[in-house]
Amino acid sequence: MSPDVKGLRKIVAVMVLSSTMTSLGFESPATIDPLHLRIDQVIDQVSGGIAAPLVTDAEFLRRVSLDLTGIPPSPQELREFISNPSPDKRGQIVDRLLASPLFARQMADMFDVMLMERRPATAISADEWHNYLEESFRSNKPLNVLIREILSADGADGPLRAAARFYLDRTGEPNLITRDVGRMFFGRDLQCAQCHDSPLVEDFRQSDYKGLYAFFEGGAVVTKKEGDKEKSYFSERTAGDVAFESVFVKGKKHITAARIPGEAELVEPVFYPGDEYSTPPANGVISVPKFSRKAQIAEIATNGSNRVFNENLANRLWAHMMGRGLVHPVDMNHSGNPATHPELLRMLGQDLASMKFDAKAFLKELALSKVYQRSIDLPAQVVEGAAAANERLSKLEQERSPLAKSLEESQSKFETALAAFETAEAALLPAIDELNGARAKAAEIEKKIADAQAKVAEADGIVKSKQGGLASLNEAIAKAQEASKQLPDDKALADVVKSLSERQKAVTDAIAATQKDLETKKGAVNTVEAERAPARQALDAAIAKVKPLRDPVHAADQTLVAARAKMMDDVALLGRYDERMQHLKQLVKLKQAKDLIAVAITETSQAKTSVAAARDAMADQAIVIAQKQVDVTSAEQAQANANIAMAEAAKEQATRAEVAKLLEQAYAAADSARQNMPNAVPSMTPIAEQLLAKSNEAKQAVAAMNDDMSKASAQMAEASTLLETARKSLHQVLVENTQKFQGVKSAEQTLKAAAAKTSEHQVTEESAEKQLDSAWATDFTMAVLKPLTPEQMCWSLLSITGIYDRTKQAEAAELDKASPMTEEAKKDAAQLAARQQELERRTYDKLKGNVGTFVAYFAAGAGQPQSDFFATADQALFVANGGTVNSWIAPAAGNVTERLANAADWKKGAEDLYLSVLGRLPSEQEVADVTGFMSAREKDRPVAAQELVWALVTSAEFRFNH
Amino acid sequence: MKRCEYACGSAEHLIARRQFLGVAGGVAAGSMLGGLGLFASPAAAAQLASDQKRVVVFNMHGGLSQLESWDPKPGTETGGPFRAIPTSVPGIHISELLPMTSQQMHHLCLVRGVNTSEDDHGKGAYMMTTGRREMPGADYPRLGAVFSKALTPEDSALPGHVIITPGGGGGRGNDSAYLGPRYSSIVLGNGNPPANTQRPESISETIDQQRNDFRRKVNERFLSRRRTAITDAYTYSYEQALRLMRERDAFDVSKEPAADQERYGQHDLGRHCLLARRLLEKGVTFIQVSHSNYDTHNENFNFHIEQLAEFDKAFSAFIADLAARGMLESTLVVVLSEFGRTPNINLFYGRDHWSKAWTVAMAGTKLPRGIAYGKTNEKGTEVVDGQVDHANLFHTYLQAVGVDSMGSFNVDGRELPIADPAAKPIEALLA
Repeated sequence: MSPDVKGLRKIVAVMVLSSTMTSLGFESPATIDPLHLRIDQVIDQVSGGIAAPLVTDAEFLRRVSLDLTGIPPSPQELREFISNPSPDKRGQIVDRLLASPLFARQMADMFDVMLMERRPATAISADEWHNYLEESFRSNKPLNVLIREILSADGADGPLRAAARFYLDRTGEPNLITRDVGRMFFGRDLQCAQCHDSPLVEDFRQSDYKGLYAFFEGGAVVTKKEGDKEKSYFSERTAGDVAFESVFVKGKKHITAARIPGEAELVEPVFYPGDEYSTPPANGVISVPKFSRKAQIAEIATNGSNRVFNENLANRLWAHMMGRGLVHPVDMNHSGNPATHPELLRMLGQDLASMKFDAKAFLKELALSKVYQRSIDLPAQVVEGAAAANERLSKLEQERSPLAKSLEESQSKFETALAAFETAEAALLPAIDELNGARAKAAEIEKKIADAQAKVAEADGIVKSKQGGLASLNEAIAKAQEASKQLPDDKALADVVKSLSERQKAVTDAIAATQKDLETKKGAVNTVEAERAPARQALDAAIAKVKPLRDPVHAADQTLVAARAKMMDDVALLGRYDERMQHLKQLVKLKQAKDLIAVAITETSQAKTSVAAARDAMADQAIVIAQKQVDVTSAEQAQANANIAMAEAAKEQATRAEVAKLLEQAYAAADSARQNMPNAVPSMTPIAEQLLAKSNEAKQAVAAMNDDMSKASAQMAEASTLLETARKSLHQVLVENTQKFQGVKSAEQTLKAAAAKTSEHQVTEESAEKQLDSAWATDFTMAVLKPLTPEQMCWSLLSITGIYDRTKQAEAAELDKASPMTEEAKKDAAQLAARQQELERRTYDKLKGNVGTFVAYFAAGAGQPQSDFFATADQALFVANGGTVNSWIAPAAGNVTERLANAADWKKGAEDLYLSVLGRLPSEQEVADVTGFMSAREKDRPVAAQELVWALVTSAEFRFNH
Repeated sequence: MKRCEYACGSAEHLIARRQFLGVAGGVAAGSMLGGLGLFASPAAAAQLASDQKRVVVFNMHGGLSQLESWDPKPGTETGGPFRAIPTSVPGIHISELLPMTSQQMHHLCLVRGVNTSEDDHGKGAYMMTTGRREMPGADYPRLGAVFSKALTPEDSALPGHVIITPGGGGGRGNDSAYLGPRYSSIVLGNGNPPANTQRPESISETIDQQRNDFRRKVNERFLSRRRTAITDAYTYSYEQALRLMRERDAFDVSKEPAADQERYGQHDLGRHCLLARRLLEKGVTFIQVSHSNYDTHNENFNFHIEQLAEFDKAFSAFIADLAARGMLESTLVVVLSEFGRTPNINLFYGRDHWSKAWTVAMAGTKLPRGIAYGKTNEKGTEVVDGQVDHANLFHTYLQAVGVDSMGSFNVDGRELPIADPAAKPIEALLA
């Protein structure tokens, strides 16, 4: 390529990139970075830096070895790789694996399964086909060339015969081929559009199906007997437009010419009937039309200009490496199920084409990308991601509205284009009917001519054979006459001559008659041939009539195809925008939920403290209340006592007053009596005086009692006051208590609310996490677990159990014995590589019989998609109880089981075991597990070792590439 | 979870259900270490017996003659030499070649108006087992795969789709199309248990337990990094295998009482029918029993005497047992062929392929019992009432076990109609 062209291509690429990328906020790069960097740019742009960590060296090596060679690395390779200090060691190992003979085998397996879906090999042997694929990858045949060979194959003998297996082992069935070509080469399963526009997939139209079908409608398997075997070939016959109607809309006819997905319908030259073939059909002949639709699709699809083809192929290689297509399932590419990164898919398709479909170069770019090297672990950067999310969200929202507008426009353009197309199509249909009529007429005349010519040929044959007979007869007569001359007496001989001469005449007459017949038949040919010109004229007229009507159909079709592609792109991109915004919202929600949970958790703990404090306060309160209650009780007691004292005093006073009153009355009576009887003897005076003294005494006692009384009354009042105070005090603490109780209650309420908030936010968190988890698992934020294919399982097990190497060594010894390499040859890298390849091939041939066993258990049914994972009990039973795996892992010939059984040190044994089977070093805990297991089994070490190997090969870690 | 209309809602029911789920849940988490199997708890088994719908198909390989079985036309030019006999249902007569079956007629539902318009063995068989016509570029799952997918509990140890064949077998059939191998048939050749269900001598139970324990430990470590649906499916398959080994007896028909073995008949079909009964009781969803070969272009009558003698004994015992054990409520039984046989009797006393007017017999679930739906004309050459085809029947089988046949399966992001969306079930049988 000249520098100018190179520069131009770069500019074009930049332009294309910038036109597709700016919608996602990409800066146009000044120079083009290697593809792997650009892949990561798109992925990072979308993920906003949220990504699973990169895998460890060991995990990377196992992953890339399985993907590129189908088997895990050996312990030695692992140790070397891990200890290799080179910063570019991952790139180096990718180069080495791509150069390995096993790479070609692995890719052959992959393409075999992809293209044939394990259909039985009948027309072409499985070996022939596999070798063809393997050789293609060994020579790094561009993938478009490989697929071109397959699409244009006819099975003719030669190096490309095997390529016809795609057609031949589908028995040439046009509907089956249409479906599978659509799926495998264009990523579109058009099956549901076979009988009507797809009800489920908006943009699969019946004309897509019928247009693709047109390429294979004329395909026919022809057979030739070769020796005692029948060999089949894929022949092609001409076919016209495909007429169809929807089973839902009966009576509305449509036609389509051949149509490659993503392209307008093909414009075909029209040939006169009888003149359509460069090799006309005949028994056992591979017929070839002058305009071969098969050749057309093989060329147009694969020449790098068909975006649908390029993107499908890129997507399938991506899916092989990443475990999942950008479009997934890989054959369900439509606007309802677009690529996770439509802009990336577009870029990959373009790059694959501009790399000239170089499988190795493309796979290397994929392997070097960071996205390929992500681990299966969940990403950790939720917080950072969420922090940036709002900004990204508003950016996406800004970008979205013009997109939505663009979609509206492209939808309306599509509707208009569709209506225009249908109008043009309706106008064309009657002319097409006429054309078909004229063509049929012309074909009929050709048939008549051919029939008449066949009759001429037959008559000519008869004339010629009779003439031949006559010539022999003449010769016989001449000889007989001569003999008769020499033997004139021989009567019998003379009779012979006579009879011969009679025959001669009869034959001569017969020849004249047949010649006449021949002439008549020739005349008949002329008569029918005369019909040819008018028929062709009529056909020409019909063609001329169709042309001005067909041209607008083609034009409308081109507009329609472009409008549809644009609409699909818009729908896809808009769908992805919505999805990404949805994910960002989830991320924000997640972050918010996490924050709110944190707040709620703080609140909870605060509330807990408050509750505890309030409860503590309540506890003191009880003591205080009790105290106050005691105070009240004792004040009540005191009051009661004072009351009693008062009552007693009052009672005493009443008694004393009564006494005083009685004494006073007694003194008054005595005094009056003394005055009345002054000389009474005994004298009354002392009595009166005594009584007076007593009365005075009593009065004094009363007076004294009054003091006591007022004292008691004062005490009573005091007790009452004290009681009042105590009661007030009690009331106050009771009020306080109620308040504090309310405090506890409200603190508890707060706690409950905080806890409820926490769990509410946790629900939100969980749902956001779940959604993000499934989003991350499908948008390459984390690596996808890839189940080993049945082939990978078989070869991996043969490899880790040492059977592969043992077989290879035996083959090497045999080969060295049969054809030893000279010392000189051993120094030649090319010869050494050839030898290595030969060894791998021999080893493969020796062991490949085992693959079928694994396919029988682990593969999906023939003709079904092979990528869906399933696990069944019969598989597990096969591995657990079947002879195959149990015998392979039995200790033998220095294999991992035997090495473990004989290990001098369990740590080393454990390391060897884990490196050999799982492709990594064991953790300390795992070393301890192995040590514990093995040291308890000193007596049956080999059995124990085999148990461990079995446990590891049946583990999920082994079953999946991760 | 599907709404379960037939559950009684009693406390016992709930407990049984919980036990069932509890055991199942433990297994799914990969933590079951030699514990009880799903059906070890009788309560759970009984619950299952009444809840889970199951299907048994008798495939009368080659094309059973309707005239010598379900729809006799005695005394007509097409009727052949056999009489029609009354059955346990007044008014319904069937061929005298089915005397014991005639006494089970009150359980059966005959569909006498089948017209499939396809006289090719392969195509007819395809239509009858997929409910669709063969179409280039497309393949549809067979009955067993569909029922297995629709009805088998996720955690069933036993396979959901079993085909018992007279010979061969032992492996997995290729009959699940887009539903995937998980629903493919396990073929029990001559009634033998599935392959690899027995430990080789070199592996004792202890060894097996030790290596499985270590396997679980290794898995636990790895799955703590990432656990997904496919890792669950994978680790579960090993637990399922262990359970299947423990339940291997389910396939051993010799464990059935000798009297039953005698009653079903000491021939392949008898043993296979008894095995079918046994498997139903163990919880298998779908069982197909084949009886070969009814393709009687020559000596139709002699062949039918022999073949149907076997069938009559085994089938009548099977139906009677299902009814007696209360299993007919939950089990759909279908007797089908790829087509029937010509009313016209050919020069070799044979009958040829005839798909225009023939009979499919059914029994069980909510289908009406003791009826003959549809009618053929006097000579049996045409359907005159209640005409149905393969697609109507397919819908009907599904509806009979409570599957919405107008619904679709979602397989890896693809929506796939369960039955032909253009056809309908036979409403009259599903009221």
